[in-house]
Amino acid sequence: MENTLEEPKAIVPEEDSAEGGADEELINRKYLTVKDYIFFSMAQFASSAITGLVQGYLLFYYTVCVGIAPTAVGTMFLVSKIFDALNDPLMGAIVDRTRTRWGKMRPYLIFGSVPWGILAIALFIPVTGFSSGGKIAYMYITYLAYTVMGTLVGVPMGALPAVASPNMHERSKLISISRTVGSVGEQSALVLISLGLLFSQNYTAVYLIVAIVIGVLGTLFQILGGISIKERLEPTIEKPHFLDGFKYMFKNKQFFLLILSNLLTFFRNLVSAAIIYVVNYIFNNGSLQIWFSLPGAIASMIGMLLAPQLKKKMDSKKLFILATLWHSVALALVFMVYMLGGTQWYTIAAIMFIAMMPVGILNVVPHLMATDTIDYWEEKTGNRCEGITFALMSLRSKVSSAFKDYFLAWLLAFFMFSQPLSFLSGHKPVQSEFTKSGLFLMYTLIPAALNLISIVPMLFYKLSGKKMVEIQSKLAQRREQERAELDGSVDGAEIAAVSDSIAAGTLHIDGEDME
Amino acid sequence: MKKKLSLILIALALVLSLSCIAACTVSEQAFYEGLIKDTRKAEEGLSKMYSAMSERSYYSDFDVIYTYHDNVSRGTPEKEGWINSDYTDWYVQIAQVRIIVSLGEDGVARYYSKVTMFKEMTDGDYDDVKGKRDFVKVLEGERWIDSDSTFSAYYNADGNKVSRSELPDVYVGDYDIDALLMLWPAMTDRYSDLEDDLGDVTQATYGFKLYRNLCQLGLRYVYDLDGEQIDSWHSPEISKGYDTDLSYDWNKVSGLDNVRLSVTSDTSHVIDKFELFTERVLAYYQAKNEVDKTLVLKADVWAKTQITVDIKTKDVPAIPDKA
Repeated sequence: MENTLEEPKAIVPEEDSAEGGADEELINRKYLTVKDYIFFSMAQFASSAITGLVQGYLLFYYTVCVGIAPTAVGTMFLVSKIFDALNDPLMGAIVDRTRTRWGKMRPYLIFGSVPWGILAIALFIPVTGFSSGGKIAYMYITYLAYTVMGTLVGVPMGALPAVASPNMHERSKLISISRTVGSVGEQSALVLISLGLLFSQNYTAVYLIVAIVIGVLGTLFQILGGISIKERLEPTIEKPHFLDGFKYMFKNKQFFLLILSNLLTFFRNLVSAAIIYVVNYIFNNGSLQIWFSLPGAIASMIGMLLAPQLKKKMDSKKLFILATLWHSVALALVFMVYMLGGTQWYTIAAIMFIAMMPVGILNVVPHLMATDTIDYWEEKTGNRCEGITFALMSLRSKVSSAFKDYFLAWLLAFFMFSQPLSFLSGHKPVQSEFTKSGLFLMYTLIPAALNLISIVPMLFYKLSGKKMVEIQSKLAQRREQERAELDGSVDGAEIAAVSDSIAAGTLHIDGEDME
Repeated sequence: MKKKLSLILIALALVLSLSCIAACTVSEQAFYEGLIKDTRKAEEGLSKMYSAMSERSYYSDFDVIYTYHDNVSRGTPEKEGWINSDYTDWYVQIAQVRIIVSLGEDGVARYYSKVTMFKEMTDGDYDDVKGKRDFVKVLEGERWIDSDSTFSAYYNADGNKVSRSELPDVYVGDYDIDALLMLWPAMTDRYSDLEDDLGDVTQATYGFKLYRNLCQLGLRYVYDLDGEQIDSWHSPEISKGYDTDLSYDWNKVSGLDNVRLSVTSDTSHVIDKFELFTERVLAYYQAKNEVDKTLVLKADVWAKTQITVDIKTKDVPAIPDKA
């Protein structure tokens, strides 16, 4: 008996985007449930709460509550930054070589969050009874161990959306929502500590209790997040060589361009770094910082939530470029308004709200693009390197922060900023008019102009629009084939329909015309 | 073999980076030698600026603002020196100064100044009224100086001419009406020759940035427990460290004065802005921190003076006739 194949389903007409076909269904299949979004976002919230607590309060805790000399604490932070620079790619390579029945990333989130949470609490245990040397030794041991565990959990958590769903839009939504929730989580330590201090002025006790609350709940949320989310993209059977991870950035040129472009966004970070100088030395009112930072954070969150919707209208590359231009133009507008007489703090803060919205978009889009580079590499070589990708993204963020600090210091020296005297408490020297002009330039026009440099590598970035859809189609086809081979059945009609569509150039997916 | 090589490279990178950090710090001797060199350069720059000013007419309207915290003292190991309460506050004393320097056809400069002094107010009240300059006048004075005479006139709050002795004792910081009438020549004179101030200079820069010549100077005067000035602001008997690591032994130091001068000029060295900031620092006993309430010696600025003179060389008004 002749084995007749079913006629392939008609190619979806270009003008009719509403009806799906086998091709569209393949690429736009929904994988994530509401539970996935909720639990992963809670895990992100928890992770940000822990890092927010440590980054925001550990310095004060060590110097005031425990009584360690600030210079010793500063040295320890510097050593840990250098250590972290080596640690991140190492952990990325380890993650990429991991193969377990739970996946590559989830085991670290599920099992790594327990020691991380314990170490976060250990950081705030009052070792006031130790000798001076003992306190410093305890500080180094606990903080470096905390940093290692933080990377062990953080890198896989960053990489999880890339494997949670093959659907680009779902990844986009997951990253956007979880990072927005994460940015709220970052402020939870501030809220809890402020509440605690209303009941007791015993800073040591309040900090410890808050650390316990955040450490325990944070661990729980991360475990739940790790258990709930599934890794739906299988890693390659062959483990990449350890050193291949380090070479990856240079082999995957699209990822290299992405990293380079994002490294150059450190100029943009001058804006948030300059706020403290602007409020203290131009508006002479340090308490205004919250009116500049909070609206900026809210605007940024709005931008993060808008990102998936905007991503549907245009590809990541265009979105990155447009958001960068929007940010630069808005900053230039702030400068012009100030020069034309709009010198009231509320005028500046209001316009900055508009300038900060694209920052939210720019906080999300590179992570989406990173997942695209992973897909690109898989399509090209058959290998997925989520671990090293997100480890290098994390390292990029730290290097970018270091560049920003260096450039900020250089600008302050250029504009002859008079440094507060370290032997005075809360010294705020009056700055000259030249310096004040420089501080405002640092806040507006300088980042506005230099931020545009980050667009240059993007101009050479190819993974956008049609190219990504083509890659996604090929990967979907390949995965379907592999799944079918595992199941022992082949749907030739389905595969042929997708192949024909790609070949004919008439594949119509989700509103995007393929010429 | 590859693993060993990688570990060695990592260790080398660590050592190298730590060495770079150590190398970035300047030795103490080099720091002070550099300071003297910078001071000479700043002095040269200032000299060019004053020379350029002596060749033209100019005027300016500026404020002298003195802010201070009342009820501060050194205190004792049992009693806090700096009190913050409902009955203590920051206060502002302010004077408005107009100067006109007119270069006659004979090349001789004539100097005119007018000073209006206002009633002291809290810094909260100052913030409320400074926009509209709704200050309460207390007294006024004028002074004319030319090559062979000096003439002064004084006025009370109602604007009536009075003699000097009839004026109330009003100060802006250490400046009374006469000091304020001579403020501009006193300031430019004071900071024209720094040879005697070399030991007091804490920082000095002179450079050309964004089409402006800029000169910044910092000076510091340190006082012992009897209020007498100590020879050097970085004497090992009273301080340790240097540059950003400098710290003082407040058991031996009662306080110090910081002075900062910032002068900018155009490319022809014609001054467009002259700014002088002084800070008075007091060492006082206060609780160590929010957690530990033991009284320890700390130091803070308890008073400061700000003078910002915008020099205008165009449309210089004529000096008013003598009263």
